[in-house]
Amino acid sequence: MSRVSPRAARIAAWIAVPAAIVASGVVVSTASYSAFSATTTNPTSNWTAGSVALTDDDNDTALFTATNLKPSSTGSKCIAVTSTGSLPAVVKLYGTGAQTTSELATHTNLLVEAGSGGSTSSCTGFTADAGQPVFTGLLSQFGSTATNYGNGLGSWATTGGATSQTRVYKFTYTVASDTPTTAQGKTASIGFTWEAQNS
Amino acid sequence: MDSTGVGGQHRHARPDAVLEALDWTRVVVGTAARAIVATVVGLALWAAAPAVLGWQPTTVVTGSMAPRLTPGDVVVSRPVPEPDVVPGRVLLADDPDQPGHLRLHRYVEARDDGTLVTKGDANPAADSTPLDRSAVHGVGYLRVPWVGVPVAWAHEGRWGAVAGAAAVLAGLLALCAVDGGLRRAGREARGASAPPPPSGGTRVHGRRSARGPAVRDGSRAGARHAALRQGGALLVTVAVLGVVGLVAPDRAEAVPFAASTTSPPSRVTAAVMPGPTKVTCVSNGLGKGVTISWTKPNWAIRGYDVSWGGTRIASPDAAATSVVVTAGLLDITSGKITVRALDAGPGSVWSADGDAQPTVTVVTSLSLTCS
Repeated sequence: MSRVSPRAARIAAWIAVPAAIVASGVVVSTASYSAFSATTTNPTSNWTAGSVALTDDDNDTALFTATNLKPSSTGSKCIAVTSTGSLPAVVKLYGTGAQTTSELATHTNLLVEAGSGGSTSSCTGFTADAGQPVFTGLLSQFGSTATNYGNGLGSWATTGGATSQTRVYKFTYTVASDTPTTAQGKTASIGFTWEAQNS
Repeated sequence: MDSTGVGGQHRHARPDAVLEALDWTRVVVGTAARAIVATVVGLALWAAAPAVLGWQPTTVVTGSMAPRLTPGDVVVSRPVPEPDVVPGRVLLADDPDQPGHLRLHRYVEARDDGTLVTKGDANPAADSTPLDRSAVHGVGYLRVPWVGVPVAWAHEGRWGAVAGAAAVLAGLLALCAVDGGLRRAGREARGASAPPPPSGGTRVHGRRSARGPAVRDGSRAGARHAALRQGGALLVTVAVLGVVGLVAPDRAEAVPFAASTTSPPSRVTAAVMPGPTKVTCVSNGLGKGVTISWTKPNWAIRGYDVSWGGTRIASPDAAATSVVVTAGLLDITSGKITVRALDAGPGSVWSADGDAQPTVTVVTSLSLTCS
């Protein structure tokens, strides 16, 4: 092994720069090609765990199916929503497939409270959180204003991590006493969706 | 112990072979450090420089597009004309769900209303809210891996990791200069007309030997120059990374992970209130009018409204099941009789009409007939 000549040292000083320029270009072009070259959808089956995940305890049955409602009829139902995602997320509630323009919908009040305790089988033990409810107003208003995540209701911020978090939502409907007689036999329906997006 | 003037001891303690190996190690380490730093700077330039063209660099901070885009990638999006926005492309757009945030998801399909449905490759379902075409900033074009990792860490609040990365970079910058003395030696030898190394081979060995009496005067200026150059290179590197650090994460935003759970449609249906049944009309003979009778509906009621030709003529209570209509009550010659049951609910305005509406006609002032 010969000693390091100053000339060799100076060559070594700058050889890294062109090499690095080439290297970074190769890295970027390769990465870009794999990420963007496909102009058709590439379904990927290996969707990573570690994300956001949301479940409820309704066993895929409707929250309520109330019939024979009269003025002043009321009822309530609870549903427990559980976040099991590893990432922090904000959960919002909105309606899907809303059929809420009938005279019944415009005269039925809906109160949605978030809290703890209770489940889909019974609201026993439910305690609402302090402060404003998630929603209070007419069913028709819910159907027309809360239609997607962007205008969804509530601001349940989950922390993610290893432990799941559960929140119980209590829905109370009340048919207004001044519901017009023309509302007889009318119907209204809406699906309730909770969506979590990581923040 | 001051090493000055003890060159003999040096040579004695470190034979040439060891010193040469040490020198080569310094060259290799310095070159490797410079290569790494230059690569990082190069990647950073790839990430930031397209901004000059109006392309938009963003840092991916979630894995919803994994495995094609991973947290820490910088994605440079290029504005493209509308026809080039086709399904399959990765779009950068304002997130309709989270104002002020950007969504970087794959365009899946167009909806009939002209909006664009997007989906994260790693998300189980398409995004719940489609994009307006006007919200699209551009199409993903360049992917620069890794350079945004500190930004992603900062987004997650992992400041310790960010500090660690900064420390590693600082260490690499320091290592870049580790073989500086070897280069200086040659220049000093030429420029300062330093005496050639004695036959014994007094080595100019980094800073330590530069303090040796043989090269002391010449090396002062050389070292200053070298320090200036190294400082300059350091400054340039830090400045480039700083600018890139400011530009690249400028709009660093989430490609959101999303999940939802839906309760099937809930339904509320109002009852249909039954009206009085068996509504009948019987004529009572001359001067006695007619009797309207009915059967109470199976419903809680507070009373009835009986109207003749649209005008209320009686308001029997809930227990009543008939009412007598006589002529002269009103200026009516012929009209239908309606028996309307009224809901008993507090404040309720619900009502239900009887199952028949007999017509009562005034024949004379004393004679009424049913039909």
